[in-house]
Amino acid sequence: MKKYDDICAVDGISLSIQRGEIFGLLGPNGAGKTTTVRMLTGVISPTSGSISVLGLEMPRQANEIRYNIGVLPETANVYVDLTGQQNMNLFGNLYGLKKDIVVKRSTHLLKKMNIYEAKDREAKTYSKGMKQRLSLAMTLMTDGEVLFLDEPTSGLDVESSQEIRRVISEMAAEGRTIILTTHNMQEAQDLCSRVAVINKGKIAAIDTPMNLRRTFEKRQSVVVNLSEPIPRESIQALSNVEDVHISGLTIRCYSPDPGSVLMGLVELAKSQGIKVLSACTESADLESVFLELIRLRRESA
Amino acid sequence: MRVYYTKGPTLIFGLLFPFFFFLSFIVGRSMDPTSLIPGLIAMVVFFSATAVGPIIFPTETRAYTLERLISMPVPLWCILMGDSLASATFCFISSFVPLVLAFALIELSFIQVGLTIVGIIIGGICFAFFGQLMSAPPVDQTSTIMMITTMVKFPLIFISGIFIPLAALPEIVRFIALLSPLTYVTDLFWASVAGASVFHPFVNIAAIVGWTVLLVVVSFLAHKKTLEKRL
Repeated sequence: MKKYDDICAVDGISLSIQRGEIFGLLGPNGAGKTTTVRMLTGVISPTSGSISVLGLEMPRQANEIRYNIGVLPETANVYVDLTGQQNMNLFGNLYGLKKDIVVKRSTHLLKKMNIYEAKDREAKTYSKGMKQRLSLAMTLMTDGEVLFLDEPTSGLDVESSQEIRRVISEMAAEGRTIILTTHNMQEAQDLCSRVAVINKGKIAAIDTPMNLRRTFEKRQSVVVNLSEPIPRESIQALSNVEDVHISGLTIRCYSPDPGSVLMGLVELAKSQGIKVLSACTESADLESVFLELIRLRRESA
Repeated sequence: MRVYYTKGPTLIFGLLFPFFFFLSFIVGRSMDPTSLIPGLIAMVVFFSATAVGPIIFPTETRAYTLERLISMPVPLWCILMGDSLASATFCFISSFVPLVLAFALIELSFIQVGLTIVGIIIGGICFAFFGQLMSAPPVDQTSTIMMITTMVKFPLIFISGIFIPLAALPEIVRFIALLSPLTYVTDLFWASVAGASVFHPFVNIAAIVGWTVLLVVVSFLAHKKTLEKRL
């Protein structure tokens, strides 16, 4: 648990991650993902509870742990007044690596991240994607067994995001344990073997991405605006409709098959001589997945 | 060093400020170099040693490099020591100029030069931690810290015997001056350059070392307390 005055940022999170696993921490902004990672990496101390990383106790054995982990903080930046190579050297030196290892490893990583050609340029001249790739390369300088990657692709262009995801997959294939925080459902699905959905400092569910997606699919919706109201009963009678929310002349239907519901709604409106002013389908956001998970949890209890 | 030595506030507060401050004091007055040099060296040591430290933490906070630094296997005390060492080194380099000036204008003996160098080293280290303590408030704007630092540094300049020798200060001011570490550093330079000091050099050295230990401890506790608020 982590409290800031009266605010509980992380509330009783309990989880166990296996070696070699890519574990996703999924949740909307402000859910408590970063606070959780900061506690796991010893950057901040928990208000209560215990943390064990690689069998060592955090924060008591923080330094021993840090030699064996790599951390990419969410807001991490590089030293923009230094070149890419100088940034790599600085981090290698801070980890106490020998000079020849620093040279060998930094060359390998800069090439892997496709920024080797720019290594002698000051980082202030890099694009955001290049800075993030350099930042990830610095994280990997430790050759750590466990990697904590906090929103590694947040705000990046498609090419840089793909580049980083490719490297994460390669790191996982080498047998590293990766704790990845993201608010991108697709990213979690593509990379993670298990995912914890976290919101308002609490874990709603820990499951495989496949199982979470089933919940996710149920929260897809169709939104239509009509010229006149239609009775709720006739909408609920349509096939595949799981839930209906009506607000004035706007109708939102939750369904695992939004396409067929949209067709049904248009037919229904047409049969009653009502005009469809606008119609669209919407994917579920994490907030609604979280709420659905909470609802299912209560039902099963 | 590569990142912080060339920052604007470092150059302004560390080099230009003491130079122009002292220039405004001596222009139009015919003063004996022996009575000028101790104050000049003390002021360069004080300003240059406190120029780098206050900008490191706010800059690291603003640039989002601090979190990464503290997630590495480097304890906080080690980071603070490194920062202060960088500040002190900047001071040693800057102090070379008044030291050469002293050597050129006054006939200093080997012992006098040695004692002056000792004063620069221990004074530089002491004020490096003083500057670091000033940067403990968890802000990300260098200007905020520079404002706080200036508010503390300016009064110390006037009560610590830089412009007016300690012996010539009014009794009440002299009593307050004893609470300033700059007083002992200035008095040590008066002893080494002019051979006329209020305290014995060993007393000054002991007082500076004592202040350094105190500043190291207080700075560490203050930064430890405010570190989480910077994230």
